[in-house]
Amino acid sequence: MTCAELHEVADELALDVLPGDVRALALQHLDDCPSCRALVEGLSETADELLFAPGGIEPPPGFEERVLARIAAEPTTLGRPRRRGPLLAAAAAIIVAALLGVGALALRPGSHRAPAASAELSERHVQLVTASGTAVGDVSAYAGRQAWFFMRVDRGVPSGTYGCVLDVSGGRTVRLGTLTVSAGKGAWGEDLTVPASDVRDARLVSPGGTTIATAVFH
Amino acid sequence: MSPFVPSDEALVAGLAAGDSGAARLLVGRYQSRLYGLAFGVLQDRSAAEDVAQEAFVRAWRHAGAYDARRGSVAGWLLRITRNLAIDALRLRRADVIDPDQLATLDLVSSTRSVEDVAVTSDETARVRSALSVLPAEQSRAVLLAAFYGRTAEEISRSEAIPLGTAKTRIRLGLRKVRAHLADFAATEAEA
Repeated sequence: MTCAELHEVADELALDVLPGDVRALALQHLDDCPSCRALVEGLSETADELLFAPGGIEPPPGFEERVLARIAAEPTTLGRPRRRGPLLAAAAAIIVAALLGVGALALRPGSHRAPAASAELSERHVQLVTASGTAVGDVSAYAGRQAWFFMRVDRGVPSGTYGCVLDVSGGRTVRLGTLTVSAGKGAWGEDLTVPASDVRDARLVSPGGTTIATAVFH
Repeated sequence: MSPFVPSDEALVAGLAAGDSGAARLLVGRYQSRLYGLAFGVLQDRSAAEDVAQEAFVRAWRHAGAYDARRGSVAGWLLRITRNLAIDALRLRRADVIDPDQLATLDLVSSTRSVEDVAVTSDETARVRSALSVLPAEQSRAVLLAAFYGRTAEEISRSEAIPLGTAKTRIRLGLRKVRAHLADFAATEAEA
């Protein structure tokens, strides 16, 4: 498929209504053509936005509980592969995300999750600040039955790969992973191997070990 | 310390980690949207609930595969819902489905009662506005594809128009919507 041919079907591809055989050819073309890929990504974004058109309607009473009951009946994390690849890959993207969870390890194989009440969740969310006081992003720790921890940079940091370091109670330093910044933005996530409440601060460090910015929790 | 409101992406990461608390937050945040979309397509409350429920379960199962580079969490959830609703429509293929009814813009306006429409967000208003400026035939073609999964060939048949015309209506319509949404975004950025 040529670029011109791709342009002819780009909208149908974005709307997910392209017949299978042509779709396969189009996707094959996109693998090797960044400009066509960008076109389709943009149109796909619009296709997704169209789905906002109907607006919201409150579902029938009890909907939320019924959904959560179904989710609770799903196999546990231990029973399914953890596929965090795309999330971690997204760290270099403008849109941020990250994540993790160690609490699930406390579940017995085969056991079912019980819905956790929101009240059980506790969180901390602090700015990531340079030595000169400039905010360059934020760090969040979310400690429910499963803890999450994520660091986000959204401005003021040159492109590159940085280390993410936690200083925890007792003077220990835990180096957890790396964060790639591209065009001023990046995010990072990794399993939190210490209790979230023990985290004193989180630091973004250069490859040479210099602290670029710090998020102070205590 | 500021109040912590987990981002959509963080909640999906929580789902990927198996956190049912994150699931509760995400369901609370998106249940009306997903149900609203499913109802808009199916026009049936029971079927819409089934689809919206299943969409959340699918999100739970496949949260680890969510890729933020490919779109927002809202878009991801809505697309799951849309695909499930289309599957449900196809299962009811034996039913008599009037193409005119399918293509009506009911799902973006008129026939819902005021109390039904619980959430009319800025995004909804922007998209409806963008659709409203399209020529009717382009809007219809775009909606048939976007909400009912109709291919250009199917639209060609149901609208009794040449295939090339159906494709053109889809292309022009979607690109005009995109341009209008970009204009909105630029205006908001200037404000």
